[in-house]
Amino acid sequence: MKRDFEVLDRNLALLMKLWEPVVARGEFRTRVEREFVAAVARRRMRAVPSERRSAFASPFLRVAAAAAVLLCALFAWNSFSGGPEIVVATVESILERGQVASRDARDGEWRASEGGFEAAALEMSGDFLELHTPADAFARVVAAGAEPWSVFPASHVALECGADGVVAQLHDGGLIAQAPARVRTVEGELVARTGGARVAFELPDDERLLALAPRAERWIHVSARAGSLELRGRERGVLALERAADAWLAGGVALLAPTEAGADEAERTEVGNESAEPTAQAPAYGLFGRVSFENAPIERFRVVALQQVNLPQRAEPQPIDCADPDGRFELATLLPGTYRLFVVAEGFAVAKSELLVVVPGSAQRVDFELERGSTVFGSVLDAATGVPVSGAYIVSESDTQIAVLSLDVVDNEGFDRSVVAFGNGNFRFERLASGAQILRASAPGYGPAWVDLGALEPGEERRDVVFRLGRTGRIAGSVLDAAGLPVPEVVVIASTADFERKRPCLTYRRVIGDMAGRYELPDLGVGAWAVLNFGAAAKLRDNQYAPEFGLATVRAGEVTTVNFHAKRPKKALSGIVRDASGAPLADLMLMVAPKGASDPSKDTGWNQTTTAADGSYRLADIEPGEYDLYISWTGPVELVFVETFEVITRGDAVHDMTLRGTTLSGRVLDGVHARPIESAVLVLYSFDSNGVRNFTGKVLTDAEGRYTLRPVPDGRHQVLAYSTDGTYGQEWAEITLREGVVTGTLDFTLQLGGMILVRVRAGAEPVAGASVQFFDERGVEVQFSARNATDASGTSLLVGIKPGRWRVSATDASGRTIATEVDISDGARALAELDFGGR
Amino acid sequence: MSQEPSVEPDRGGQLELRDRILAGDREAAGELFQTHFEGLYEFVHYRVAGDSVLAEDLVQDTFVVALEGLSSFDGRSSLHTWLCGIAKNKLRERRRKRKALPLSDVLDEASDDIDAVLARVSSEPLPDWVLERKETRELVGATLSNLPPDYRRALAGKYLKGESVAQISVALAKSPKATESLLTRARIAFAEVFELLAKRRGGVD
Repeated sequence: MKRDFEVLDRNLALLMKLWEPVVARGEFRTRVEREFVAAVARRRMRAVPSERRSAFASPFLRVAAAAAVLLCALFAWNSFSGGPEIVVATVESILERGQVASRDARDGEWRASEGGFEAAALEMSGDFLELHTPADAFARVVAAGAEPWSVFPASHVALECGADGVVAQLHDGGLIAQAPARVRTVEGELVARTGGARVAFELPDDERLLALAPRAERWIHVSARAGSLELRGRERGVLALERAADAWLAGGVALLAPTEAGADEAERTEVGNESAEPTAQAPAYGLFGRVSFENAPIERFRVVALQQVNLPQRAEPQPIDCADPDGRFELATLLPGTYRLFVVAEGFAVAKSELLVVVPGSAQRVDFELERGSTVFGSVLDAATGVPVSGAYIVSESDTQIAVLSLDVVDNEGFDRSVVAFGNGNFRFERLASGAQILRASAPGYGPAWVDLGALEPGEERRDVVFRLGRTGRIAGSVLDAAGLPVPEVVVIASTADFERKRPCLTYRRVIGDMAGRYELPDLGVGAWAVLNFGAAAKLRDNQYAPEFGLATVRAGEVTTVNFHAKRPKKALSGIVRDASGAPLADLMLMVAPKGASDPSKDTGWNQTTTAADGSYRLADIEPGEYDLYISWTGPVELVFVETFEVITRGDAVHDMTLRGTTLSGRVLDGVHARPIESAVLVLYSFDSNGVRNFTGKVLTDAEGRYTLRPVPDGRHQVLAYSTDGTYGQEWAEITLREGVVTGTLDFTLQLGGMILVRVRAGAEPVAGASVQFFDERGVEVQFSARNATDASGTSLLVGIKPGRWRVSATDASGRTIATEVDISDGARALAELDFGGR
Repeated sequence: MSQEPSVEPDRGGQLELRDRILAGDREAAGELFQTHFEGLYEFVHYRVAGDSVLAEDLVQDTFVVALEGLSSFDGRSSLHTWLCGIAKNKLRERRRKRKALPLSDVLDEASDDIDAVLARVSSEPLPDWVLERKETRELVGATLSNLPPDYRRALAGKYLKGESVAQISVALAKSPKATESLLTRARIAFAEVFELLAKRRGGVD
């Protein structure tokens, strides 16, 4: 059955009006979407087989989870400071996506808004604000207010709170902030789920709930200024919870604090059945002990205290050089926290303590018995060739006194335990501590490699340990601020993605960017790396950072790009559109495109709106910059370029416009039967003062073959007409419009067109991707598409070519150009053979 | 230099979306859901005789299976087609357990006369009496449920909303030239599916 498109068109117009879209229940849709999205975030996806796998694939979830676990140490003492009631607080949130929920009081209804927050301003009249971000979203929240807040992270990258409110950068989790004075006393029993276990908290009348961080299966670091906690049942993983102490708690946590009147009365905290040392009367504070070898005191040694904080924070090792005939030491200046102590003495292996919790008002004794250590012999080889690698840097991660271990020895500041391989690639590593040992080796031009030695016995000699170092790639990129300007000399770090801490140290390489905001991190091993930008915006306060994260997959010999480009603030653009007489123009479609972005897809920044009855328009979410403005009249008229304008950085932009110029109209007819051609395309090009031709507008003819283009500006133009089905050859005409000309007429008669099959080869080999150009008899280039190129078989078929002589040229990837001429007759197919010749 | 919008095939975007979802990108998951939920639901709806409970079950199952098997999506078909394929398998599973629900059951009141006319949608004008029949309305829905979302959007834009190609192109994030081409393909696809369903239903040769 022959298809008649006119009939089909008419029938479609009728049939589509009968369409009643089937709509799913909103509740069902919402539920399935939520479950689907949550499942995506939850699942650890399998590797994608394609080479196009995103650099941000599987490691990101690890970063998200790890960040949640790792970075809670920022939760500082002043988190729980009290203060007067907050009546109104304004919260500005910049959430790329996520959910904001707030409620006036604990008993009130939650008000939730979802998604798409770019710069939401929330006025919070109550005492609770809860923010949730999905697994891979960052949120920066600034809570303005005169009073300090209590802030309880479910998981954070960084957090700071104080008199100015809260600055939090969230990652994979939530934030609960509440004005402390508004916290209500909770009576009765509160049930929380912690780490999968159900724990009941019985709250006495004189106590109040300070925090509930409801994330299960997470460790969370909190600090309680004052409090008393009773757990009915033992909570696994609770190390300590003391008055004014930090605590590590698994999963959800509830802290109790007495009411203001009883605050000073609280003395201690009981954790399950675990007995705690009395602390109120303890005169000493910190850690002290004795260092010996075979019970004889060591007189000279160094004690290094390393606080257990997590990336992106880096705890500075705190060394104390001791000289005491009895081998005694005392660390009385440590801030409360969790520490590991290292003792380094000449001729001995490094001795390490277990994790120690330093709490105010208490002291702990830690004695060290040194050992001579074990020795490991081995070699470092090129993984690909087996050739020994000389000068490799081999470090014991287990004995190193820092948690983040640079590939560059200078950054490790002497806190590493390391040796350098000999010229033949061999190495000898003495005085390694017994027990678990993990060694790392690296060398210029090679990525790092690790060897897990398992447990070394005291005095053991282990031989034939081999490191095989693989090839490297690099990560490079740039750092731009919100104004689009480069951030000079920014510190960027690439860190291995071992966030599950299978190894004692996190390996990293650090670089300082140049003045143009560019950075490059060389010699990184193949695989996943996290990239952290420690620019000025990342610094929260002393030694605390909220860096931007990126992830990259490094491939051998390749450069992986990771850019940190701050989002530019969006602006609203508004104005009124009038015609030359000053009358407002309604129902015009306005489209703005970033200058040079010719493709109207979402990610190229195209934006559109329609003018109201009074000619006004408003476009939200416009980034500052230069824009091309197009208009489209109702009907088959579209895309007429009007002008280029600039949206400025400050304030919302107002841009009124008056549409002047000529209304150009005409008809497009079939040259054989003089019938109108429907849906023929008229493309308007304008020549600038340099004679460069620019696309200006485009219009389709109606059923009568008529078209109208308006407003066509003054000046020299070219109008190209062609039929969409390729039946007719294209025609073009040049016109010059002078100021004041209101209307112009331009008709086209299209002749039956032919086809050109372009075949490009180099000898016997087809040339794919060659750019093909067409020049008509007047030597004018005619474009049939934005870019015409040969396919994999080296061919390109063009239809709708106007009869006559054409010159066809092809340019290959190396810039070589070759041309030929072909004659086209009505409806015929011509072959244009272009041969670059054999190699 | 010409700034005429270019024509680009858009299959690559689907693989990118897949990769982002596999990387745990919730926004990407939302994008896939938003783009394909309605089309999928409608696709299923017409195959379960409008049984909304069954349709919901199948759609939910389809998303679960899609997530599990997303890494196997290789971009050779569209995501819509791929999801509909999963839904079809789920339908077949159900049919093995339940009474068969062929499409003909969905439209059981159809008459041969009507279908004979509908089967000539691209060659003869449709008379008013056919347009007024419920069967025609159902066939339009069933036909559109078989078309990819961008085809449906383009057809709705052109014939329901009276949008220009430029407006449709912005909505579809395609160049005007690509949109023209897509509209042509959408029209042909509509005609072919519509005619096929009408013939099958009405027994027209």
